[in-house]
Amino acid sequence: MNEVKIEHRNERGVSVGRIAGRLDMQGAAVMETYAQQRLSAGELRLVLDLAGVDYISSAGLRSLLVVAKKVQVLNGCLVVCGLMPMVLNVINISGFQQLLKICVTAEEAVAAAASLPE
Amino acid sequence: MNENYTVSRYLISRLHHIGIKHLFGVPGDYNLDFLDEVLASPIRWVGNCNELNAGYAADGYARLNGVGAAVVTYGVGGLSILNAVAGAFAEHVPVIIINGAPPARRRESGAMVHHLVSNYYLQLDIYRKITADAALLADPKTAPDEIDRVIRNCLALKLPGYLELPADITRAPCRAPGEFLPAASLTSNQESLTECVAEVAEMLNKAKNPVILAGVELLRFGLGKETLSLVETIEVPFATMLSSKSVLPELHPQFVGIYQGGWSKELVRRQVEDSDCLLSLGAWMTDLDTGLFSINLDARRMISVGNGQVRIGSHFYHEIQLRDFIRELAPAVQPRSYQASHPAGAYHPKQHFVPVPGCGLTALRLYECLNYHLDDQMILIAEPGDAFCAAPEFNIEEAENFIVQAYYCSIGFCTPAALGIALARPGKRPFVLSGDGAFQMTAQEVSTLIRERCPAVIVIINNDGYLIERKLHQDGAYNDIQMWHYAKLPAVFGDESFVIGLRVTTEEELEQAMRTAVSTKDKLVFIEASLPNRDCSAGLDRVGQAFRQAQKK
Repeated sequence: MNEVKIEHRNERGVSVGRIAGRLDMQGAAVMETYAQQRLSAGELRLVLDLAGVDYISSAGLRSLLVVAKKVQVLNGCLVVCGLMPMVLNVINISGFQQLLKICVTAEEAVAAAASLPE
Repeated sequence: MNENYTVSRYLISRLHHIGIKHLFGVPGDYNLDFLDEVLASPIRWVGNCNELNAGYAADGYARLNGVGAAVVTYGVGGLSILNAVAGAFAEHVPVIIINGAPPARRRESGAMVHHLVSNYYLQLDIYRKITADAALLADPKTAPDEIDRVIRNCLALKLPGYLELPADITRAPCRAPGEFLPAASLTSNQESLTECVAEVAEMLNKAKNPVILAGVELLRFGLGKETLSLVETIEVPFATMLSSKSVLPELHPQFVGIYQGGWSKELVRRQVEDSDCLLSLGAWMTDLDTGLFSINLDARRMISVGNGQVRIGSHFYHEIQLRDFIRELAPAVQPRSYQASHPAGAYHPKQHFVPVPGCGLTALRLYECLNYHLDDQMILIAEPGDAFCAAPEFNIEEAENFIVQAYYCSIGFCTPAALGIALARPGKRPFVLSGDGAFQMTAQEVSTLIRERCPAVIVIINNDGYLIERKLHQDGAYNDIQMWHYAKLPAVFGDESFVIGLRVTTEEELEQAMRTAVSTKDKLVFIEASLPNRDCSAGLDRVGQAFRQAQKK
């Protein structure tokens, strides 16, 4: 069992969650709870840094979409970054890259989130 | 006996206990005493324009609330609501009918009272054929047990229940309610279940391209979450059917599409029919769910679970309930990875609808526009006809946001059902998509939607009569109806400050009307979409051609 861990920081007005572990059903629930907490706190510019995620299941991908929709309803912005090849491959196979704003590095993601209109 | 309890108070207490917060119906002299007790209870009375509409409203309510109920009066009411109850029976929707009856002493003397058809047992006999259980509450000593039994069976079997309540029994004292023992839920034979799950798990583990076909029974038994958990645990792609559309979220990486046999999109049809292990969970192979039986599924590669049994190839396991099967299967199967097991086609997002200036409205563009504007806070209710033929193309991203009566197909269902849906899910907005012919069947219920302040969106596809019948058979004058000024109806029905009525004939007008509907969340928005030349969806054209070919054979 590889439990998901999330390190949180604020950078240039953007909430950044660095996620490590497997984004399977259990990990997805942890990530969704984290994102909901940030949004409930009024932090509507969100970066999910998946550089430490070595596996994503359909449940993990679905959770990313759920978070993206919640952010959209609140007129916020979500940027995903740091995708390992396996994770990027899954997102590309599914076609859901069309719904997610994706950057390569956390620096780029923070810059993108900071500049995107809420 | 407990002096504080009467038969009606006992019944109301039980209804409230099982989650009924609204009672639909029409008053009549045989049920007025009962309705007095309802008004004094925590259950809210929602009067309807007629009994058929009350039945549809209770059905819509039950589909989301788990159970619904309606009150009618003897004969004229009890027989008017029958079509709605028959639909609920066919589609496994638990709706409890309370029929106020003439006083028991009149029954005993055989008196010729108003609303009597021929004999006092006629309605009870009829209802016994279209309910899980029916009872005449003629004796206050036995009434509590009979009420409990009927409710239990209704909930357990997900079928309607019938209680006939003579007017003079309504206020008769009876015992106080004890603990309500829920129906012994239908249980599985553990030995059979264990053996079956082991066999299915082995088949799934050996399969190269397994697929799950998620059927309507999952909706009726509230198994959406369990099924989603199974999909995500074992990582197997899933398809749904028209009747089960939105039992699982369509915005899901494992969603293959809607399977309707030969009417399916080619990629969907191939993935389902070519699967070397198709796990069918609660699917009903009805005519409209199978593209008029144009399915091509190999029983040797198929596992069918539902109706209390599992069929694998040509052998059966009996006494196996869907819930138990899904729960035990999830940990028994070796999980796959998404990279190795996923839908054949990638996700395609909804297309932005950009109206073409000056362009008249067509069916194709109407549905594209509606699909673009549907959101997660709307529950689409598609009427039999062009509406539900077009429905498979709609992106219903989240579960429970689509309702259709795809098996019984009683036109006129949707407008009254929207009332029940609005009251069962006050945080959401019913979005009715109905043809003009279907709408005329039950149009009065718009007035109740207004009275109850339900901010529904109603889109009437005005294609000049019974278009589906014109397509299924050679056309005739019997398919013509009077052309109404539909967009003016909401104002006629009541408070103009709560309703917006719009008529659209062009793409720009439609786009503007839909923007109004989406942004005006606190009003009922009624849109008449006038289509020229009896234009229809590609889906209805396909259905028409299939029916005509079948008639020739």
